[in-house]
Order: sequence, then C-alpha cells, then structure tokens
Amino acid sequence: MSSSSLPAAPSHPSRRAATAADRAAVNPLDRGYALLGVLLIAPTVLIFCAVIIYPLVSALYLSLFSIFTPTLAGSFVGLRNYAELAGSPEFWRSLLNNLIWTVLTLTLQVVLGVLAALMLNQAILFRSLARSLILFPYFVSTVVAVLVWRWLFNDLYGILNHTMMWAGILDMPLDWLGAMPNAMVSVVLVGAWKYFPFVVIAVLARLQTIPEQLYEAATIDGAGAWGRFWDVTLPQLRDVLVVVILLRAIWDFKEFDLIYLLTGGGPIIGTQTLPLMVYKEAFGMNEMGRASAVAVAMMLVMLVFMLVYFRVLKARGEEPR
Amino acid sequence: MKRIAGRIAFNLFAWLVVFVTAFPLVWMVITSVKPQFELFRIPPTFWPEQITFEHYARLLWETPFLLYMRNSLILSTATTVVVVAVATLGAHSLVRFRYPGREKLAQLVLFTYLLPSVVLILPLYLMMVWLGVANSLLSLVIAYTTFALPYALWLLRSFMQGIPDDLENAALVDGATRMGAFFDVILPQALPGIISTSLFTFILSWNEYLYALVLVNTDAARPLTTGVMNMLISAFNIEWSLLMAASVMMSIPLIIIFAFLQKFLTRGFGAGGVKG
Amino acid sequence: MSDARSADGEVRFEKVRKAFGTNVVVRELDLAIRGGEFVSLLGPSGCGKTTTLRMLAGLEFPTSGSISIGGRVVNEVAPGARDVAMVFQSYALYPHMTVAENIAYPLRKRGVPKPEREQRVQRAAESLHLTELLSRKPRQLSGGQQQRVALGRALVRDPRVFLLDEPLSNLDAKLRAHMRAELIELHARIRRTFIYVTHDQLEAMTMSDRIAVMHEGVLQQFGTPAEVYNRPANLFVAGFIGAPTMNLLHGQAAEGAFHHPALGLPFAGGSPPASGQRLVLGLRPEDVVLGTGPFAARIRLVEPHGHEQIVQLDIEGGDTLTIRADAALPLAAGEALRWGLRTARLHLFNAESGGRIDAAFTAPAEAAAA
Repeated sequence: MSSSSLPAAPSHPSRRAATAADRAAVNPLDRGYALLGVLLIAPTVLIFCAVIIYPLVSALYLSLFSIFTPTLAGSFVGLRNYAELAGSPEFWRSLLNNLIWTVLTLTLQVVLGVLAALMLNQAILFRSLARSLILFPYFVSTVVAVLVWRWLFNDLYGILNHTMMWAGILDMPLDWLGAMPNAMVSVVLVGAWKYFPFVVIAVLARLQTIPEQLYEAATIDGAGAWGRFWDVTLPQLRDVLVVVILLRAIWDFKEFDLIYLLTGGGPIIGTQTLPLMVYKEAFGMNEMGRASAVAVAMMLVMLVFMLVYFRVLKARGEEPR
Repeated sequence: MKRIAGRIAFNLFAWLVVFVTAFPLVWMVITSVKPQFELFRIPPTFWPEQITFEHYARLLWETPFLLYMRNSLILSTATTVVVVAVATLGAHSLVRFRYPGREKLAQLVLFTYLLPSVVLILPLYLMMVWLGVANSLLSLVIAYTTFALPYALWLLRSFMQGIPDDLENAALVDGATRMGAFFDVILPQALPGIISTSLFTFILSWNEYLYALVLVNTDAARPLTTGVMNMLISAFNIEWSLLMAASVMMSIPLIIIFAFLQKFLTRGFGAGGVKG
Repeated sequence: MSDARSADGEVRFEKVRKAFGTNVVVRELDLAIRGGEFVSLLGPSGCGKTTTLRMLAGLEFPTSGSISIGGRVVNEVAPGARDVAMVFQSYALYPHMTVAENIAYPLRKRGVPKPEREQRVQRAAESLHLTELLSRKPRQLSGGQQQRVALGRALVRDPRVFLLDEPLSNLDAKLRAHMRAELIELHARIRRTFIYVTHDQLEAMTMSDRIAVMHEGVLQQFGTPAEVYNRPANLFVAGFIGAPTMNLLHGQAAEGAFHHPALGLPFAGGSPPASGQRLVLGLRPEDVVLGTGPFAARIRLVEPHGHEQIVQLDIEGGDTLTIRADAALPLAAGEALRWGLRTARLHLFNAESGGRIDAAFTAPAEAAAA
C-alpha cells in the first residue's frame, strides 16, 4: 500500500502565484476598512511627523550651521561642526565617559538584578512587600533619587561617610561627587541602584515561567543546587537577558537626568557624557549648531545598539517588546 | 533543624538586601521629619529624637511647591489623556487593519521609542519659540508626546495583540460596524491594558526632567522636577529636610499608584517592559 | 427578517479564488448549496475550508469570483448585513458580557426593541437549556455550556445561513458525540442552511446532507456522505474518507486486466483502460473476504477491537493491506491465509491524474489460486 502525494482533481488548475490582477481587484468593503485603519492611525502619524520626524531631520540640518543660541542667528558652515568635533578632545573624552558609564552601570544592573530576582523568587517572608520595596527606586523620579543620594553623599553630614568611618572603612570623609574617580564611581552606583529593578522585573517574570519539571529532571539526573542554576536557570534566562541588556544599554547610553543632576558632568568634564555635552554646547556655550552635531554623532553610536536590538528580535522571529 | 536555621538565615539576608536597597528612601522619609538642627548632629541619629512636620508646612505655604504640584498634575494628566487616546486608536489600527506601510510604521514606533530626547530637544526648542508657546505647559505637553506616544503605542499594541481576532469577527458577523466592534468588544477587553498604560505614561510624565529644564524657565509653568531642583540650586544654604519633604511629597502619587494598582503595573510590565 | 427571505438560504460560490499575497488558499471554487441543506466543508488543515467559510461570512474577501446568498451577490456586503450567523472554533463569547447579553448582542445591533429582545433571548436560552446560566459570565461556564451560548447567539437571530467553524473541536469526546446529536436535531427543527467546517470525517459523515471535500484550496468532490464514501472522485478523497483508510495498490493495465504482483483482476466489459496504463486499485478494509479466495497473504499484526479486529496482511509486492475482520475469526500473527475481494465494491484510479476510473471487474479466476 502506498499513498504518494498525488495530483488531486482531474481539472486541477496549475499552482500559480497570485497575479497582479489579484492584488488590483480590491473589494470596496476591504478598501473601506483600510481607509478606516489609515484614519485611526492618522493622528499618530501626524504627531509623529510634527514632533519626532521633523525635529530629527532638523537636528541633522541644524548641525550644518553655526547658531548663537540667545539670538538664534546663524550661518551655514557645512560639515565644519563635525570636523571640529573630530579634533576636539572634549568630544572624545565625553564619548569615552559615555561608554565607561554605560558598561559599568549596565554590568552592575544586570548582576544585581539577576541576583535579586533569584532571591525574590524564593519563599521569603512578606515577599510581595519585599518586591515592591525593591522595585520602588525604578519608579521614583530621578530628581528624588538624586536629591536623596546627594544627601547621603554629603561630605559633612552624609550618613554614608559616617557609617563608613564608624565601620572603619574610611579614615576621612570622602568627597563622593567632587573628585575623580569618585564621581564616576558614585554616578555608576546610583545608576545601578536606580535601574537594576528593571532587570529584576524582567528576570522574575521569566523565572516564574520555568517549568518545575526541568528542575525535577535535573535533580533526578544528579544536579546539585549549583548545577541546577547553571544548567537549567541560566539557559532559560538567556533570551530575556539579551533583550534586557540591549534595552538598558540604549537607555543608559542616552541617560541625561541622573548624571546631570548628580555631578553636572564634573568635576570639570570628568563625568560628562555625550547627552550632557549636547546640553552644555547648546545652553552653556550657546553653540546650537555644534550641539546638534554632537547629538547626531551620539545618534550614530546609538544606531549600532538599535540595529543589534532589531537584529536580535528578528532572528528570534518574535515581536519586539 | 539545620534546614530551619538555613531558612531563617536566608530570610534575614534577603531582608537585609531589601533594606539596603530601600534605605535611601527610608532615609528620605526620616530626614523629612527631623528638626533642622538634628541633621547636623555628629554622629547622626537614626531615629529622629523629635518628629516635626514643620518642613512640610513650610514647603506648602512658603514655597511655590503647590504651584509646581498643580503644574505637574495638569501636565501629566493632559499628556496621559492625549497620548492614551491617540495611542489606543493607533494601536487598534496597527493590530487589526491591513493597509500599505503598516509594518514599516510599527518598526518606526519601536525606533522612536528608543530615540534619545537630547537629539530632539534643540529643534523642539526652536519649534516652541517659533510657535510662540515656549515657557508654557502646552509646550511641555507637546514635548512629552515625543516619548510618551511611542511608549504608549508600543505597550497598547502588545496588549491588543493579546485580544483574539475572533472576538471582533464575531461582533462583525453579529451586525456591528468596525467602529461598533471596537467600542463594544475591543475597548472593554483592552481596558486593563489601557489603565496600566495610562499609569505608566503618567509616571513617565511626572518624572520627566530634561524637557522641563530646557523649555520652561518660569515658575508659572514649571513642574515639580525642575521646580524642586531649583529650590536646591537657588537656596543660599541647602535645607535638606525641606528638600526631603519635597521628595516625599513628590513621590506620593507614585506610592498611591503603587499601593492600589499593583496588579495593573505588573501586567504592564509583562506586556511591554518599561521605559527607563 | 421576513420568513420569505429566510426560507431561501441558498449559497453559491462561483469561480471564487482567494490569495494572500502570493499564497493561493482557495482556487476557482464552484459550489452550490441548497437552502436548508446541511453541508460540511471537510479537509485537512490548510485545505482552504476555513477561508471559504470566512469569505462567506464576510471576514475575508475573495480575490476574484462571486459569492451569493439567497440569490444576492454579497461580495461587497458587510458581514453584519449578510444575514448569516457564525459559531467560532474558540466560541468568541464576549468575556465582559453575561450570557444573556451575549445572546442579545446581535439583536441589539439590529435595533430589535428591548421587550422583544428579552423574549427572544429567553426562547433561545430555553431551547438550549441555558436558562439558569443567563446571568453568568462566559468564564464561569464549562466548555460545553460556552458552546451552547455560542449556538444561542447564532440561533437567536434566526439567520438564513448558519456558519460553524469546527465548533466541537474543543470539547471532549463524550460531549462531542452529545453535541453532534443536538446539532442534528437543531438542524432538523429549524431547517436553515448549515455550513459546517471540520477536519473530522466522522462529524461530516454523520451530520451532513452533503460533504464538500477540499484539499490544497481545491474542491475535490461534493456529494452525499454515501457518494463520497462509495464513489470517491479521486485518490485524495479515497484516502481521506474512511477509517481505517482505504488500501491503495499500485499496478498497471495489461491484457484486459489490472496487474499487481499479488493479484490480477480482469476488467469486465465497458471500455477498460489501455494496456500499460498505470493504475491504483482501492480496497476498503471491509471489502476483503478472509479465509477463502484466490490470493495468498501472511498475517503481520492483529488488533482486537472487541466487536471486530483490524488485521494487517503482508501480500506479495511488498504491500500491506489493512482489513476489517469479524471478531470471531481465529487469526494470529505470522499465519498464512487466503483472501478474496468483493469485486463490485472496488475502486480504480488513474495513477497519474489521480482521477477515478469507472471500471467493472469479473471475479478473478479461481484457477490462479489453485
């Protein structure tokens, strides 16, 4: 007996691709629906064009001018702003600072976030209260976070210096924000404190979907606690971690509020990242054209992250989150 | 016996971690109720020796705090209403209609969702000056849509993708128009998603700093973020208790949202992650 | 809706074709369904049956061709104005509405005044034993109850045509049998056109007046259950309908007979296929006689089913036959035995085109067996 794949009915029309006529023959009802769909998205598109697309294009355009911020008078200078940037040590220092800040704070966020998520996934007393408390830094305004931390860091009356001196870690009060490399360390620490809950939430959500059977199977196969973590938990977390790391990398890279409010980029330009440089050029130096050039340069760096993010989502064939 | 000891040790450790994480916020509350002179005690006291609400009173009656609060409430509410209304229609269109360019548009939304404000801010600043709306709450509402709209669209889109297509189809066969089906079936189903999107959008607007810094330099339109920072910068000597009281007051809406609507928040997180 | 119109639930597909981009899902479909008829669209998943149903409902639009209901072309008519009701595979009950509100929804959308609406909901609920559940929300109902609410929502409108998209596939086996009987009764009572999409041939065979078998977007055969079973139009239908499936033996025509290494069957009269023509012979499992006959086989496997046994026979040429045998026959794996055929019930197909060939056979010469 055999049932090979077979041609069906005798009058079987040959399999052919949809023709142009197929696509042209649109049903008026279908066309009406499409029109309604366009109508519903129209406000979004209009707003996008007005407040996102247009400014984006004008940022490119502005970067070709030399503009004095207070009067907004300007003249076309071509690519001179970019040429100046390429030769400006401040720009390269800011880019370097930007990368240092991003890599360090992101690393801390991920490590702390995963550990806290694993901890909160265990049965502890008042778990939901513990979760809320851990998540709160993420939702609190950066302004609030910075005020609190500046008070904690206060060199004379700050509790941090006192506690560390009491514990014998420090002999002298430390200038947390006004000297290097302390300022960078402080900024990185506060950044990690503020944003690690994002990692916690994402990882915790994933942990709760790991089937218990996987752990049971691993236990039967002789895996200890460490083995179960290494062979079951971590591989399951890989996907979510890739997305979280990319998202956080993008967001950390463009962070302005936290650094600006903690150190203002100082001491001198010790913690100045590219977003801060944009602000300083535009409103400190009154060089709006050059500020735009910095912003565009920063965009180009970020595009790399974004492309990787899009690529990862696409490779996974899943909806971007 | 050993197991129980282990559990207790783990609980203690876990709560120590939680305490350290939450300590800055605890310290904020404690500082805000300490009398000014107690702040400068060396070594510092942990529990206030006497509790006072004088800073709160001063904050409310002797500083423009209430004005900032009013501005922030108007600003965040207006942004949320506009953005969520536009995004709900837009997300519905992206999820359930077919027209050319739809996929590209969805990608554009994601791209703008990741776009840094600092790139847009200079042209937006020029635009507001040109429109003559600089230094107003309106200019901030317009500016806030640049991050709030892509964010809300993205979140609502993932919520709406979770509503089965057949629900709308059933309504159509039952005699509803496309818009009728939207109001009768899609909207009630999307409501939890719309609520959590609104909450997140509100928090996002409430916490925004950069646009407020650049676009507004008058107390009449200044929201809490820049307003409170101004109190720090312009003060002759920094009154930390007052600032901590302001921080507590500023966080109250978040605490309310947090306490009462936690289930919506976690749902929002599952659907779309949160802007940082 | 006036009775004169609702009596006329005739449905007609003419040269209907549906493509999504370059993917053609339904090809040149011609199908005429009489008013009041119970028709199943049967086929494996991806055969185009659901798309066909959705085009009829107005949820998809044909790329070309025309669809008419009651003599009116509905290609450009909105789903709600087609006077069809649909029961979805997922039931698609509105989760935020109570059972009563769910059932009343189509009436509300048609502007039926409230008192009449309530009365009709009540009546529909009674006929489906839903009266006690009217104030519940769908998530508080069992699968079978949800199924009945979905039916009620369709029934309450008294539409000309009922569309059912695999409505029983989410129920357990026992409930499915029960609901099958209820659907048959319902159809007998209201005599509306039912169009029923399923991949389950048992459902199609037991409920339908006629079955439209589809495969890869093409209508393979449209006929009564008996026709589809007894005279399959091609190899696909032959292999798809019937459980266990029909045995198909590849062979060829030579010297006025069908030849296969295990058997030779002389054609009787008519116009037999030309010599050299490649053919496929189809034998239903119940059309083989075991114990006596001209051919030899060895038993590979016996599956007792209580009321019968299913036997696998190895025959010459490397083929295996699946046979339905009386439970009383003493059969054991490994035994050799003889077998014969009911020649009047054989099926013959063209191996190249797959099309059915009408041919009669004479009983094979007993001499071959001797």
